[in-house]
Amino acid sequence: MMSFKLTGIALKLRKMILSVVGFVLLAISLVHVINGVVSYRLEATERLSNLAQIIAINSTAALSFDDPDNANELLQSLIVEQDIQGAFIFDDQGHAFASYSTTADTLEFILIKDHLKEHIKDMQNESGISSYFAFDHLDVISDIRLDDTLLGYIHIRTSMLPIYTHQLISLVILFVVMGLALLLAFALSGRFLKGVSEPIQTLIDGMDKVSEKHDFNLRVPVTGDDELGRLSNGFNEMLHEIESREAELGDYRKRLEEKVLLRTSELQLATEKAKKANAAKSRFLANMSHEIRTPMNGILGMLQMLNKAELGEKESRYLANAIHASDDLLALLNNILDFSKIEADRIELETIETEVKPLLETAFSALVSTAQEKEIKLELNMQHIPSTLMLDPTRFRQILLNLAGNAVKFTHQGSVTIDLSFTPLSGDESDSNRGQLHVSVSDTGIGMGADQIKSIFQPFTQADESTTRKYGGTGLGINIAKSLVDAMGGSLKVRSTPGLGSCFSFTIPSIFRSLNHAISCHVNLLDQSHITAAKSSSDKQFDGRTILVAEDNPLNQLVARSILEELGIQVIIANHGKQAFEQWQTHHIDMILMDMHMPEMDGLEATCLIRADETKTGSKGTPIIALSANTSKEDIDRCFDAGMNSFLGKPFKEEQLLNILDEYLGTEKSDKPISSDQNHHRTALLPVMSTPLLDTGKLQQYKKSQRIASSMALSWEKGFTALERASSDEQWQDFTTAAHSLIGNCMLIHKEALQPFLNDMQMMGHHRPASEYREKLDMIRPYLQKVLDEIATWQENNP
Amino acid sequence: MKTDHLYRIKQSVSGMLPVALLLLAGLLLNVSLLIPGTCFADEYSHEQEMKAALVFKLTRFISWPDESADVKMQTLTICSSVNDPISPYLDSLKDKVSYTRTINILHTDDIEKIKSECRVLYVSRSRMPDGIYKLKSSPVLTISDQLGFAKQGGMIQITRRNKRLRFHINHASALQAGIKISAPLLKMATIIKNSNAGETK
Repeated sequence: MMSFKLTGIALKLRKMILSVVGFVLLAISLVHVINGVVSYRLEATERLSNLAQIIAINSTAALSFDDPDNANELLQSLIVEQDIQGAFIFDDQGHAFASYSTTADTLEFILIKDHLKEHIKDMQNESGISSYFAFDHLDVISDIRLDDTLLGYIHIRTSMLPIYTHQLISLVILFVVMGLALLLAFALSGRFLKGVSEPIQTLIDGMDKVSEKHDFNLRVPVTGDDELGRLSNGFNEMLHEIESREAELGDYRKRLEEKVLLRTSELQLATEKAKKANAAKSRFLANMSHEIRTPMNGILGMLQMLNKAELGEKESRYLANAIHASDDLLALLNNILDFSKIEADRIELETIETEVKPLLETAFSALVSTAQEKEIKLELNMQHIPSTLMLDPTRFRQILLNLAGNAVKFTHQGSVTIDLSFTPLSGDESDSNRGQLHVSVSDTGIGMGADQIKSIFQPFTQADESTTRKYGGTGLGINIAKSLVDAMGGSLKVRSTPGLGSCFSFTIPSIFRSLNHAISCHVNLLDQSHITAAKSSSDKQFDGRTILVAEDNPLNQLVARSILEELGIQVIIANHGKQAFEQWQTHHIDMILMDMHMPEMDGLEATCLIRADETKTGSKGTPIIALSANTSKEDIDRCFDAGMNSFLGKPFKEEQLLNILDEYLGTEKSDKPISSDQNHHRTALLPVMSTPLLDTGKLQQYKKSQRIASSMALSWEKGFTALERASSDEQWQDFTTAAHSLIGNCMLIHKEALQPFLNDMQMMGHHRPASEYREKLDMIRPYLQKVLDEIATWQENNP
Repeated sequence: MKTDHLYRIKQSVSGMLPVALLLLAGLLLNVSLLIPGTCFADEYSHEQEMKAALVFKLTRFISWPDESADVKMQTLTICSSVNDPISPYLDSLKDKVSYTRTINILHTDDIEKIKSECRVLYVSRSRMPDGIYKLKSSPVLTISDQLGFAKQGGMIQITRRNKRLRFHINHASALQAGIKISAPLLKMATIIKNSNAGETK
């Protein structure tokens, strides 16, 4: 069955249709009824008039000849007309002549007489007929004439009730029909309106779906080509448009993303490239400075040697200039090296308990001569500085030197003053040892403008180009100082007035031990310089000593030889490690200066050999001083690990070498402790059996770990057997050789575990009592066994 | 004018009605005495007068052969025997107009003259002329108060009933003479047929 439930527009339309239909039907009904009544009246009037005329004609004789009976008879003929209630015939005087009535009611007669009088008066009436309407009846009065002679009047009354009944019935019928029509209209409108409402509903549903799911693929079915169809078409076109736009947008976005990705990767590549380039630059700088150091060392050495020779006044001046230039060059090299390290983020700070006053007094020695030449004061003020502070002395000195050097450089008259003060942090017990060290370096130099201040912290930048031309320099000093201060947890600040001077200041946190011996003093650094110079006058102290210089560079060999021979030291030169070891074995050597990098055998290996031999023979340890242009902490550590006693960075100055000589040859007291201490120490350090000896992690890293493991097992077994055989044969030379061969196999054994002990064994030499060797063997046997077991276990677990 | 006239007549008739009724009652009792005598002269003349008026009225219901519903004659001659008692009363009808017809009165006993000139012939009961039946087929309306007049071939016979004047009409005679009598009058009147064929000849 069709649905009668309509909503929205359809409902409104239905209401409209029904009300219009209802109204029209009602109007028609009313018109019909009124028309019915009116036309009935007209018709009735007509009919009655005709009837009256007929009776009038027929009653002419009766009236003419005074025959009421005849007239009554005539009237009686009206009986056939059911609607007629009554009729009268009056004579020309208006007296009743004949009458007819279906009702007994005669009261109406008076009313009829009134009508008659009215009719008589109405002379204008041409037709001679008058009609009088009342609600329920109609009176018609007509003249009765014959030959223009008025004979009398005829009156007929008809009831109006039939028409009312008739109209009532037709009204009822009309209402029934109207009801049916409305019902039909209702039903039909439902069907028709569906044709309107359904497409609209479909449209709405479509719209809802689209707005809910954002599915622009959707299409609304098009019904017909009326307005609704066009609406649906329009909607579909709109959807299509949106869809294509969406797709376009999606495409665009995709392309954009691709573009962004492309750009990003390009950018990454570029960044990588830039980083690589920068790293290459830093590496290049480091390499260059290193490469330059070696020849510099030679130049410096030779110049210093020359300085000691007898020279004319002119030559002395030239030499002084050369030395000065070399010093500058060295400082420059150091700066570049430092900068490259800072650039590579490889700056490493150590924290050492440092005596402040000696550090400060010696820090500025390089500036003294310049300051004296320029006739400017160089002063140091200390206020309440703890005697010792925890800091990196080298770097701290470098900062001060850089700042003060800069100050001296740009000051032509007046003074350069370094002020230091210390503020302990007052607070909790835990913080009681902390404090702030304030440092400022002020000068009365040329000063800088605000713009220049901004640029001076940029690397390779000075106040301006004219400055570079006038004063020279790399522009790295301030930058390095700033980086170091930053690394120490402070920040470097500048105040400056052009023409009046500059003041660089910084504050770094530091830890102190005690404030009991806090120093407050004023030092004129120009005066102090003489004191330190006095120290280097102990010339003949090293007479007759022999020093082995292991150095592959002939120039450096010459420098070293010159300096040392000047001191009365006998110098033996070795070109590489192997030669050095041989020389050490064949000569009595008091001290070795060992270059780290040499052909054939490097310094570290040679040191190992020497130390092993020393242990073997039980001789006292020879002081070995490392010489290297590589001054990184890592390199220095490696030197100490190999058994070296000290480290001297190249190029070194005579004073530095003298200090070393003083330390190791001067008093002889340091001889014993170094070697015997080491020996004793390392024997005791033999680890407990519980810890694994084999570094399986390291072994695992190799590709052919299995093969390595088996060859290792073979070597160890061979070495072990060799040791046992040597012990039983009492061939102690073989014994140390075997121990030595085992050291070579220590690569995959935890470093501290066996190597030191084996070193001891190797260095025992072959002149010890047999019991000592056997004791050593007994001690190490379980460990050797354990190494073999562990290798076997590993092999089982890793087939 | 006409109505006024008629009105007057009617009034006089109705005004005399009670007296007339008394007289008529007496007349019916003494018919033989009444006819010759003139002792009730007033009543008599009144009756004659009424009859004369009646004649005039009758003309309104009659249509002669050369007339149609619309076109009537210009003159209408009403005749009576010279000695007929109604004659003086008929005179009063002279110049009256019935439709377009102006009434003319002629007293004559000449049958030929009657035939040619008269359209209405009144014959009182005592004066029934012999030649009246010779008028057959002539367009002359014959009226009489003679008993059996209609039966004998007369056209309109005036009678009395319930003290009122009524008519007996021999419609066939009228039709034979080409005279049309209007329906209301026929309806009101008593229609008489000829008593026998021989008599009418």
